[in-house]
Amino acid sequence: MVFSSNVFLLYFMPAFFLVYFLMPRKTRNYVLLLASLIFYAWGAPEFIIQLVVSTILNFFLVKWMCATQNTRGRKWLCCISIAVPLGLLLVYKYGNFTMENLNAILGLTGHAPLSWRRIMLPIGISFFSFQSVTYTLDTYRGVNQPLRKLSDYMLYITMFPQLIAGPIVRYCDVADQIRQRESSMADRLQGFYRFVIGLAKKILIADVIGLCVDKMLGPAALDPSQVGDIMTRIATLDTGTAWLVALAYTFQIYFDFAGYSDMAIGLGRVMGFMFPENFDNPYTSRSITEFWRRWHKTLGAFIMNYLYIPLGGNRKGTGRMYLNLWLCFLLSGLWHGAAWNFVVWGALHGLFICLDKLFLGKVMKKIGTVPSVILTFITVTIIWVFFRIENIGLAWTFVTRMFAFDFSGFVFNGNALVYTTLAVAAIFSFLTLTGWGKKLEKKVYYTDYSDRQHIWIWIIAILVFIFCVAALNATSFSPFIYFRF
Amino acid sequence: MMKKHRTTLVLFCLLAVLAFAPMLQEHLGFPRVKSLAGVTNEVPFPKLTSTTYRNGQFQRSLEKYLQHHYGYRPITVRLYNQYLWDFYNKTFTKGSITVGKEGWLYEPWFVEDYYHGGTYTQKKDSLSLIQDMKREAFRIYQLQHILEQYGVTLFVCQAPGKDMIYPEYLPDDTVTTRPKKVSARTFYDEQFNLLGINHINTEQWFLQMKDTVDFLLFPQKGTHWSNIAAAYVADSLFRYVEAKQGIRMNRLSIGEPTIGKFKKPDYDLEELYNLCRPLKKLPQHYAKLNAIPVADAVKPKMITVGDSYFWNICAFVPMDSLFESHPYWYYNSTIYFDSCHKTTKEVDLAKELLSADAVMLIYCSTQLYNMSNDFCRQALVALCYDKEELNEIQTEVERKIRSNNKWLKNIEQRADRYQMTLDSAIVHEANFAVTHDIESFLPAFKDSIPTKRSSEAHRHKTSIDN
Repeated sequence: MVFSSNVFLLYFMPAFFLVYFLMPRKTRNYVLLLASLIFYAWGAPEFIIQLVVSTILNFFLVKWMCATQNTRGRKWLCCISIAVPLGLLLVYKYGNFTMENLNAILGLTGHAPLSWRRIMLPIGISFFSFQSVTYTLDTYRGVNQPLRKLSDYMLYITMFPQLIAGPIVRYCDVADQIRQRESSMADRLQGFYRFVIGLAKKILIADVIGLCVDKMLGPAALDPSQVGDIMTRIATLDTGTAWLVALAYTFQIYFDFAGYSDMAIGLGRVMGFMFPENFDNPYTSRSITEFWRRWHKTLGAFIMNYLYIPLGGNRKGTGRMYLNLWLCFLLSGLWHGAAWNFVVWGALHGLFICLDKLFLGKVMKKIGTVPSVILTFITVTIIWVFFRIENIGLAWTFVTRMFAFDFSGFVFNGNALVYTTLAVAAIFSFLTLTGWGKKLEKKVYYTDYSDRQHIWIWIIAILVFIFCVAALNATSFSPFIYFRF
Repeated sequence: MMKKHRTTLVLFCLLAVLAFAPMLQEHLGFPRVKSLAGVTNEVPFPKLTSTTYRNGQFQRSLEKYLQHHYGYRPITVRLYNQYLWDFYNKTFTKGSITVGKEGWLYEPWFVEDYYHGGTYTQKKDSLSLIQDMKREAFRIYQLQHILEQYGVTLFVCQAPGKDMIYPEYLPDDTVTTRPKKVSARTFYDEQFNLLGINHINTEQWFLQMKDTVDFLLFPQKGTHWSNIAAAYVADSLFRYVEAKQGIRMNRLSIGEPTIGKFKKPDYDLEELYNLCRPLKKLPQHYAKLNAIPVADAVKPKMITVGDSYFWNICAFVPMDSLFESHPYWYYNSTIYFDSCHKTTKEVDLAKELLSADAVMLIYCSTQLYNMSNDFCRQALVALCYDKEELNEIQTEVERKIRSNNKWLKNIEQRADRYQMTLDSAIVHEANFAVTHDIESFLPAFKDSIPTKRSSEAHRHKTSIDN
């Protein structure tokens, strides 16, 4: 189930919150857990058993680990507890990828390919696996006490607002809230406002732009039979069109992902959870390093705390630091998707982070805010091409068209709606570069509203919500005057 | 502090109530909401089985179902369409409307027809299309002659397309690469003249009338002829029936055209936009239509087979005062204005045809490709063959199939493809051949005008002769 669907918006969400708030406080976690399992079982019925079993297994492993006094035994149990979710992630997410590459190598060396059955990717596995790892490590490190109740642990892993697409909530961030939390009426309303903001980002901006991008580049997961057609189209693409498509995707992915995070944070807040922020105006970054402090912040924090630092961080010399950084981003790329384009995407980001450390960061600081923001944005836009286009050859051809300076025929198939949406997306992406933009953001996201403000914002939120539902469903109605036989 | 708490509490409670409003409206149907205009394919509630749930089919289908069934849907669709219309001059009536100049609206197939000979719904190449149309024209010719022997007048009315009468408001043709294809409009006209088929082509007549009258023959925001134009056409059609039947019918009186309040379906294209506010339209004239009784008048029975152009005639003309009955076989499928039958499948075709005085085929230019919607073939078979005879011929064809290796192999392949048994595929093939390719498989149609008659036709003829 996705948030931007009728099933969720008009049925699941109202029904859930009604039951949740009508139930006594003590039972609310059970309601939320049950709803989360239903939510997951709706979208991935085949994997709900694996999710539940692996969660139960991990809970008891961690419990056992915490009860063990022996350091070596604790270490082993910690490793096993991490290996369970990561093993599942490896098998489900990277099984196909590994086999495809293995068979490619076997083919090159003249051996017969191995046969295997394609594995379906369970939705949200990348997120709940990481959350599971944070629970194990945070308790292992003694940052937090383990949860006493299995249901609470299952709730932490499967909580529906962040189950599918994050933010990656570290155990230490919500450990106390799972046990006890408060949500005032104002919190609940502000959660709803935040949810509506996210919904609008997703439906009114990302989806509108996305339709246009898909028309130009084909679906994100390309069927091999489509590659030829898309290649023919891309190989002759006008430079202006190529840049506009890349820009469109840059905005699409931001508003899509940030919108989803907003919805998750909003839903959490209604229930009294304060999930960490995931985005902080990433396109206003003045370097790629800063970009990663603003983009998918919870992933950045996870990588920093659970990968970069354990690898040695910057404590083992400069050379090792660069290697660690690059490795982290390479793996971050691979985490985003099991395909070589994601590896390239991660590697490029890693490369720019290293360059920042070497000299680029200083250069960017020297040239001033606006030029550095523009340069960083352009870099990010180009790198996004490798994220969007799964076929490396296609992605590379696309990038070459961006620098072909061939302005022979602009073929971007946008209409006034798409262009307006792009403009709105651009405005909102760069708004906080201005002083009043920052004030506005603070006012909208982080201020307690007065009564009067609540009334107005409530009305606006309701109208925007209705408008989002309208936009979500308007495309489904395409009538004829009369049926013709 | 208390007041703030109260405000947020009230807002939260209101929010909770509003959250359930769509669910309640959908399931209780209250309050009633004006439904959306236009027709779409009904999306059924998906079947929940273990398989459909596990493979996600149920979830996907339910989401699709809910896109069409949620409370206050018409309001949200109109709201979004109005936004798109006001800000971007577009709506989600995908492919159903083309905006012309000065706010004139057209159905896209009329625009296609005007610029490219109209092959909107035709997948066939021009040559097979010509063969099909030639065959259809010849079937009309055969049917006309057979029905004539029973005193039934068969005639064709070719309705004009809005594109031909008001081409000046069509959008400019932006597609230049498509070749002009065969036009059913001119092709049928030639064939009808060549074969002497009773027909009225109203197109030229409309073009002449256009410059002499000060009312619109087609409404600016509608797709069919206007109320008043439909009335003039109807009057001519009725006179034609009179002349052919040699009878006197009650007169249709058409009053003075005056600008009136827009009536359905004169803005059917605009309605399809499903906006919150009506569009500005050119004024539309209406005339009072009455039936004036005539001494010794006969009220004939007329069956109409055709497309939606006949709706305007039925909607405005007092048909009951002019006809004893006037069943309307919409696209030779659904039957209107007939209390006994709902679809043409229920009808005893020979009996029904022979009880009529006139049969009219009415099609507009873009529907000519589907002329009669297979009515003529069905009528010819019904008038010339009994079921038992057809069964015998079918059995013979089945035998021929089994003894013809090439044919049999072909059917075997199809049976495999559609997962049918060979026997049922053979029966299917034989049945299709006998009932559809009548010129090849039914001996009576080897003659120019078949002389063979079915028992029903024979019985009817005997009763007339007596």
